[in-house]
Amino acid sequence: MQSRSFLLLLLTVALSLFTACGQTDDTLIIFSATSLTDAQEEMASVFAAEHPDINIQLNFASSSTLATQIIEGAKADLFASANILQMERIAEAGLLHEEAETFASNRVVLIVPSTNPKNIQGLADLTAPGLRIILALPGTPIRAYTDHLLSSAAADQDGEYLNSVLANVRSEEATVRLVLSKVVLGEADAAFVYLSDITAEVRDEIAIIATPVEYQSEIVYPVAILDEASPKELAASYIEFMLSPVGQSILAKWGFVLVSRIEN
Amino acid sequence: MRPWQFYFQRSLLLVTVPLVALFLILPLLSLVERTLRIGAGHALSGNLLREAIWVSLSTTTLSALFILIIGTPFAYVLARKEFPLRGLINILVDIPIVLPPAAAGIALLLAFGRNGLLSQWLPGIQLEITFTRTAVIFAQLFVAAPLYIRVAHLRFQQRQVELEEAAQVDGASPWRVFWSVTFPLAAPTLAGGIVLSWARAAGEFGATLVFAGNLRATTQTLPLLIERALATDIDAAIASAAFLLILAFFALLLARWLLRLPDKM
Repeated sequence: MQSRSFLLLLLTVALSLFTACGQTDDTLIIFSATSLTDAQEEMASVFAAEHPDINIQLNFASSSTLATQIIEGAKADLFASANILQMERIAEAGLLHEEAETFASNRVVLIVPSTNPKNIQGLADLTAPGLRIILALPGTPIRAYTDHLLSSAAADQDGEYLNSVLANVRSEEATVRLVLSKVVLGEADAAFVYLSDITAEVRDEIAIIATPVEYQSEIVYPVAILDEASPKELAASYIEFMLSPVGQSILAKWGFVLVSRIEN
Repeated sequence: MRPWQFYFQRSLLLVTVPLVALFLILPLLSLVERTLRIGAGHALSGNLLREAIWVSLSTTTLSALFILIIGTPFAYVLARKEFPLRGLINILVDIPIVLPPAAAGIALLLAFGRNGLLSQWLPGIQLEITFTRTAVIFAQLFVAAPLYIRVAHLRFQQRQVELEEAAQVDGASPWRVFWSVTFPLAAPTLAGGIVLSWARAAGEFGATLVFAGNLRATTQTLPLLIERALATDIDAAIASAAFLLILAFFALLLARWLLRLPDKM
């Protein structure tokens, strides 16, 4: 009796797996940089509400990991990257259907726990011995922007500045959200994340320390239809939606700077 | 054997063995094939990989040592002595085996982190374990120790009553009985258990990532290097995955051999 109900259970599980695999042409698979998580989820749900017969699958990871997955043959219709470099990798591999379009822009910010235990007031304080700084892994876009910001700052500080800051790095996390979580948990004294990562849920747990605007790199987010995409029209209409006033207002809500504002 | 039984077993063999073998072997084979194609020597010579191998070897060796030193007497007491809450402790020991490693990492962070429970109980003492090599060892101990303790516990439950009593009658102290009779008799099984535990520690990823972070030459073990290299240098990621695979294969081979040895001196 017992073994029969166990078999039934197994059968149910197996069947549900099969139905989960069943994929129609109306599935849109979006590979998206982790920093876009909240904005992309909201855009996808609004888009899905307007197109009830389609099914959107979101895959979030660092842009570099996503680019590697796509180059290694992962099936995706759209790729929304946190930087141009990773989009260029896909383009060089000949996997882009058409040229990428910029849909948003962002900023890198220095953050500390809201209690600011080490009393950090600016970039100059990051050299204090014993400080715990957390950065993202080399190769990720956020790390490239952070490195640019730190080396720009180093030009205005003494010669040992960069080495002293890097000596305080305690961990290199795979994604920017993991960097953020270490600050929220109070395990890190300082870290660099995107402005868009400071969502309502974490706003009370952290404080943003001002950094000079001239140290910032221009951070643009490109999106492109991949060669594999089917049907291409669906992917194109999603990009159109991202660039529409509705899409842009969702992006703005999550801390991204709008495309129109960069162009002006 | 009856003919129907022969055909029944033969058809099962023809269906299941190739299926399972293909499913298990193909990913492993692909890993080895790609490593050979990109030139394993070139990939293995990188600094990143050498540093990660050193971090992995030093931490797993220390972890295995701690597990052996604390785990052996613990498993012995668990198997031989009645004490309050023994059943509960028996369950607790197994929890890390089924707990997702990332959950183990969060649990460690909330216990031994800067704002963890231990820090709250010890005011004035700033715990700085997170992001150090000690944290890597903590994570490995947490996930790997249960394997050894379970093997040792099962082994110590089989009493060699005659030999132990004979030693006792001959005037040996309980300490002497343990070291001269019980421990040597169980030694091959215990060795097999520690190899299993060591292999689990060497493959540890999630708990280490959450609790110890990922920093080159400090906390970056081989599994963590794979994640790092995936974003920047896929050849190094493939080479370290292949290296771990070979390590795991020989560890399992050794463990099987040790666990099958007749338990005698």
